[in-house]
Amino acid sequence: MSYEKVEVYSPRSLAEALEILSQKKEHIKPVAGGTDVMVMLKDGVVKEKELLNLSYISELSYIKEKESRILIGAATKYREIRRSPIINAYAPILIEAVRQIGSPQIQNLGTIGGNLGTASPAGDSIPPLYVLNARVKLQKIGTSREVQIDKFFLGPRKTVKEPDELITEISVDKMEPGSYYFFEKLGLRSANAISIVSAAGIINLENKTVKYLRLSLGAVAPTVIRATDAEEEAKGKELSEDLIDRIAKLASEATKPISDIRGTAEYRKKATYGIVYEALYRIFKGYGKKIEYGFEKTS
Amino acid sequence: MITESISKYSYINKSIPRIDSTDKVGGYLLYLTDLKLENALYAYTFRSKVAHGKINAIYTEDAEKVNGVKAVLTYKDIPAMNGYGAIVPEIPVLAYDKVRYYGEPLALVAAETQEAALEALSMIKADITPLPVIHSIDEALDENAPKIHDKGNIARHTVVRKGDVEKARSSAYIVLERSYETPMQKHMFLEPEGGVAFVDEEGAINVLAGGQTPYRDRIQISRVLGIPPEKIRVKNTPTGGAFGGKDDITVQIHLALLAYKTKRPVKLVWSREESGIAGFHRTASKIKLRTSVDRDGSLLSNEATIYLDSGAYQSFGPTILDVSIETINGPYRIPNYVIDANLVYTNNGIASAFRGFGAPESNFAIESMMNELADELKLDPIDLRLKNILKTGEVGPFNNEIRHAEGLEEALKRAKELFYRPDPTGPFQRTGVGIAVSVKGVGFGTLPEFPSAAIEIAPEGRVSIMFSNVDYGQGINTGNAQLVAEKLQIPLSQINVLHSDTKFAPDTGGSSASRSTFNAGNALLLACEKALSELKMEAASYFMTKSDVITYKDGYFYFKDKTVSIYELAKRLRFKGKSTRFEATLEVPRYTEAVEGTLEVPHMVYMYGVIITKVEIDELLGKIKPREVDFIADIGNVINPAIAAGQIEGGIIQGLGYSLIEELNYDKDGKPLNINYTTYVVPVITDSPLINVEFIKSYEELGPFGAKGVGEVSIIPVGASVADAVTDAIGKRNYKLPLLPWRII
Amino acid sequence: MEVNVSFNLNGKKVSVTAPPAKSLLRVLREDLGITSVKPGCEAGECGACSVLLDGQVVTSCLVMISQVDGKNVITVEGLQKDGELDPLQKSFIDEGATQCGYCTPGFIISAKGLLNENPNPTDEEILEGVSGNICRCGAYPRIFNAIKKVVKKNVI
Repeated sequence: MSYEKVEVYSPRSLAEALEILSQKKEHIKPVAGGTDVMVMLKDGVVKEKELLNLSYISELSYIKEKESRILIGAATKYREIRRSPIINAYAPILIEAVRQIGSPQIQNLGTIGGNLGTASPAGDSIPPLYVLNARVKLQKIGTSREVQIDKFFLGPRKTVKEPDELITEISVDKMEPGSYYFFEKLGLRSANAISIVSAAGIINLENKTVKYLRLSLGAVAPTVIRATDAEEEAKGKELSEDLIDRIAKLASEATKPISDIRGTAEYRKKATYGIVYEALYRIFKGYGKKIEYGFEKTS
Repeated sequence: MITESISKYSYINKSIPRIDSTDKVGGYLLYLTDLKLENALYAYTFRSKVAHGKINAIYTEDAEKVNGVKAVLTYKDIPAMNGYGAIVPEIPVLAYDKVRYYGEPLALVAAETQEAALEALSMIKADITPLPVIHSIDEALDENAPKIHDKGNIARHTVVRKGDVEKARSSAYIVLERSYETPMQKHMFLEPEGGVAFVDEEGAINVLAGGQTPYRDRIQISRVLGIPPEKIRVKNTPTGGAFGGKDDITVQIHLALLAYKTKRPVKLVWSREESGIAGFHRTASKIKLRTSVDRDGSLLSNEATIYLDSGAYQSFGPTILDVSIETINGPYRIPNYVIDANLVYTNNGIASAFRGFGAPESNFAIESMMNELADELKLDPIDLRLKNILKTGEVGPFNNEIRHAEGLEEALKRAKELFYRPDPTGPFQRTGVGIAVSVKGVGFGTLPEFPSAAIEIAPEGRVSIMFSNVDYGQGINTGNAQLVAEKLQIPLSQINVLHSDTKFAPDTGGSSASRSTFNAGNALLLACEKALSELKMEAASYFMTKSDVITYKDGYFYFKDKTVSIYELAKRLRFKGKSTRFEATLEVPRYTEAVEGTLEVPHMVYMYGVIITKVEIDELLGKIKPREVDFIADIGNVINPAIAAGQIEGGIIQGLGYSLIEELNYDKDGKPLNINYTTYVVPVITDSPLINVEFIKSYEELGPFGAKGVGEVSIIPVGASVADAVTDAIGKRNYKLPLLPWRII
Repeated sequence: MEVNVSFNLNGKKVSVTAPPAKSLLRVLREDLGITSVKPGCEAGECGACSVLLDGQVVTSCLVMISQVDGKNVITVEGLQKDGELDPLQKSFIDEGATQCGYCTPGFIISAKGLLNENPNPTDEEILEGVSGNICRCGAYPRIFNAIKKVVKKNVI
């Protein structure tokens, strides 16, 4: 569909948006930041004749705390996430990822809900959401449901969202104080790159023993995946170069990559090993990033 | 660096900002694809979705019926010759019997609105019987391969030889035999191909489209339309980047054809993806070298087999092959060589000019070979080169007397101070340093060239300088203005540049082969001399004396205590009905005979450079980060150090892209996979290393105020230096560019 | 099918009628005569069409005109004050940070967006701030210097 023939609805409230969605269902496509949809529109691959512009719905843009969770409105832009004192204090791993998304221009437009809706296995906000035990809130008129992030994606560009549902909120765990964390991505260039491989990890240590490791991998399977075997292997063991090697190997084995212009499948497996090994090695050697006690909420 | 304070010149050796930079930073500069003509039609191209096939029919009837459509053109509508191509006019303007690459143009549409044009485009149907697709040089050479052209899949084959390689090799201490590969590189200029055309009041067809060589564009248009070149005007700038990719025809003939047929203004601009599909790219190469040295490191012989992938047609292929021949021996004393050079057809788009033009391809091979030989000989790679470089006055491998090679020697000696391995920044990082030498001829070698340029002195106090070379970012309009300012000793503010337009400028040739400063600069200086000589006679008449007692300084003629300005004299000439426009033609210095088997080898004037590249590699990820690059250049006298250094930096960054990440690929059906900035990744600012550019003090008497050229010199040796640095870091040698991480680990 | 949208463009109120999903880039170029925004890719990859939208740098090719109602849009044409070039523009000239110039307005807008929010960025922040813009001529070292020079002046 070329842009001349597309109708755009620009509701000012969520209720209005859900109303439109309930009528139009699969004939309308929600647009938040537009960073993906506008490209699809130019390429003529948008099949819907109508777009639902969410950019005027301010009630979908927020970041707030609720007990041990953080709630993020789906239309919250990456730039807001980067600048959020709450995310900085309690979920800095998300900031690590978001600051590596696209470019300043993309971060000023793109939203976290949009990244989920696009459902690319290379979407950089997604791996941290896996290790933060995120839940995605899907709303339609009169009802809503919450889906665990690892149940949300069905494959590349496929999710469990029904056509009359809207992604309205993403909630994540606050990270435990003292946890180490990382988000690493590998692209063909050093900025504004699409991930060849990405990895997000949270590791909680008691002395040198791993209480738990949460590890997710991007761009190496049809969806982002949790490296559960690697997580199991780590549990209760003392962190060592040997253990890191075993974790990284299990992470690599968990991948089901494809070969494309950004990298061969074989390389993606090797690079998964490398990226996980290096990230954990840094933590092992004491120069990893750690979420400290004493962060104060500043707003 | 040349320090400006010690320069004896007033206007050159100075880093004057580009004369068009205010318009550029202000956003006012109208590029040719920005132009909006009143009443213009929108034009689009219908392209083949088959990479290799026999055309049975093209159906345009439905498209013609769309409301608002003014023209749907196929090969049947071409008035004269259906062909173009800078060297051999074999590229169909619109394909007629066969298609030979994915995206080949089959029809053109022009309509009152974009929507109508696009609707019409969607209604054209082509009936094409697919033929097997040739994806690579190897496939093309297979004896059972289908023939892309009737004559076969070899577009050009030549052998150039000297001495007795067998004998030399048999007595050698070391003989190395290696194969090297380089990729197709896309230009990826920010402004895609495009422009406008219209028929003016005098009936002339005006084509204003991004390009590099307006007079060649004009003659190519003229042949297709069957109208004399004088009835065609071509203007090629402002252009948002070219790098060789706009040197041959892109949209110019299609635009002219549509304007000619419809008698309406027409706008035709390729989308980014169209540029990706149908735009030119650099030739891929496969080069085999067998090179021998004696025990002390003196090169004895070089046997090269060169294959360049020309894609579906030749464009500049034959001359690109010549440059690859000329540069495969490097700047070295090689008494015995055989070069078997082949230009090969495939169904991979069309390869054409790209900065360096065959030299980066050959340089990667010979400079990688030199580095490996140094290793084998346990010699310092700089010493090995110092031992083998040709010296001034020596006879080179192509029977050419070497001019001014001392700059290269000095550059190599300076390189020794910069050649060290940096410290790694982390536990998984390995660092390495690499070196390569660049050599490239300025201009067209033995091909005769007679560039003309003009200056016009306006009584109002302005000097217009006119040349047809195109400034698409190199800064030649500023550099040439500086040369004229220096010659006439007048401030730059009095100089007005008219270039790249057949309406105003005589034929100075185009911008390619690093020769715009050399050719246009020299021709402009001749025009200045002519002007000064004529004006001096007018001054003699004004002073009522003989011209030989008159002196000239800073825009004024002097006789005793009297003075008169060039502008006052221009006024007098005009009053007498005489022209104040002075045009001169240069016979470009050259060897008159090409080496047997070549078209244009050798060149008379060479640019030189030495590059030191320092990299850091993550050993687990195979990712290479270029950290620092030093480039020591001998480009003759430097007209504008900042602009010249900018050219060198830009070439290095393009070269790093070529060496590390850039590679155009086609799928099994011959469809290109890397057609936009998402799929063809180019360096961004964070990929740029620290770059240190140094100029050797140098003066080439044949050049304007001692200048040679600069545009191509720095991109050429990047690949070999990066590969060498990677070898230094991880111990493994790589023979194929780009050095993608999955080729490293 | 067309919408009427009003917004502030370089300090002046403008109104346009356009297809609602038309990009701000195309509206600026085709309907409002602003040609400094360049359609280098129309996919948000090259940054040549960057504008400041309510003070923040965005690629105008990714913004639907329907999303611009009531907003503030600044292009490089709007940076001059009383005919004086912005310090960034001057610095780009002095440092030789333009070659072909096609990417230049986008770079200047990105740098402006960065300095608006962070007048004293570190070197890394400068680089990140313009990492969404491509210069194929490779003027990067000089673009960096041009921005850095303005930052230094801000500090003093």
